[in-house]
Amino acid sequence: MSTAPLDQPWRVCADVRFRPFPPEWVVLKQSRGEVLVVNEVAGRILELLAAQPRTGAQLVLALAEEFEAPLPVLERDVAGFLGRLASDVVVEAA
Amino acid sequence: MAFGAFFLVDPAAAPVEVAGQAWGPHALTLRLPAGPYELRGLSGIQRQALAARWAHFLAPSGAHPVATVQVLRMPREAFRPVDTRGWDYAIDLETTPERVRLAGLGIVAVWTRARPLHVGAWVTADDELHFPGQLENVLRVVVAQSVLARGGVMLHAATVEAGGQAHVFAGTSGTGKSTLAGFCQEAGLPVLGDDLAALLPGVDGWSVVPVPFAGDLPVTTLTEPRPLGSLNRLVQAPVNRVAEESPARLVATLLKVSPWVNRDALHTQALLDVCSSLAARGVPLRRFEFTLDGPAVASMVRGER
Repeated sequence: MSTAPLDQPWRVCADVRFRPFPPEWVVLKQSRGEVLVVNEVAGRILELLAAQPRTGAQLVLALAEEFEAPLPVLERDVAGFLGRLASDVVVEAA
Repeated sequence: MAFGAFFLVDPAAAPVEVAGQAWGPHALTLRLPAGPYELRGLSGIQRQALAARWAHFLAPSGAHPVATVQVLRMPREAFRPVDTRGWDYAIDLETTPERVRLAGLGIVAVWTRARPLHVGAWVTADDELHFPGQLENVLRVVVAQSVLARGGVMLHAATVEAGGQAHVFAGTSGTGKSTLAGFCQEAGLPVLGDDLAALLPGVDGWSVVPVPFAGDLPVTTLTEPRPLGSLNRLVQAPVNRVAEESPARLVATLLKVSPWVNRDALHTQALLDVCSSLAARGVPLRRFEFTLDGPAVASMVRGER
């Protein structure tokens, strides 16, 4: 799985809708009719990016306040999630 | 590819508003989910063909229809020849904020978003063999949109009655909806459909309303709504097993198998709302893994295993 650079700003693509179904989230890529199920951290990333574009590093700091995880773990997870979401055209470079 | 380019000789000439020559003076009203639906401009043969195909779904005229379909003439020469051998039939659907256009084998249709819907359906056939299928392509989409507008959803699913409730088995093409429905029918369970099911909310909860849009099995003769008993994600597997499904995975399946409206930007939010409501209403959400052991599968649907 590809990872995304943490200094790159990202935003949610305009045709993407998502909603929490705890403990997971459902993501709909409307233009392709594709549906993803992602975990709560990836869902929270989408929620943060929908509020405003952010870099991976900014996402790590925001998530560190909400999830009890060491920063290196969060950095690895955020880079991985952004890489997957970008390859699925759910997020794009801002 | 431009709208209609696969089916039409001149896609740029595809109609954008309802105008043209009717096939005849006859009309028919159908009792379908979120309906009724009125068909106008039919020839005598066309009316007879529809009345025979959907005999159990005829309604008296005079009720206020949610959609009126005006059937209009189009010459066969307007359509390109299509080699249908080995082809998985799919219509061409164009959705904009203002209107919907549809093209298929021998059919073009257009309607605006204003309700009640006023649909123009241009067809080439005036016979019992081809015409009902041409018109059904339009009705499937119109009914799906009308069901969503009523707060429900139409799903690609097999639906079987057991224990006085309707159990919905949702799946994409090839997951075995008709196979499962056939197993249940052989075991004596009433089958409400093997291809599409309409789910509608009511004061007493969700119900499943039969639709006469079939897959491999004959059109159902059951017309009365049944209370929704369970929602199942259909999975072919080496062993028979029913397991609880996570709401997210079930909703993801529902979004994938809610045809036509799930590709329409204007309907995405409403569709998510409906799926959320379904997942939150306490209806059992299950993953239904099944084999080709028909009697065992039917027993599992009955809840005996």
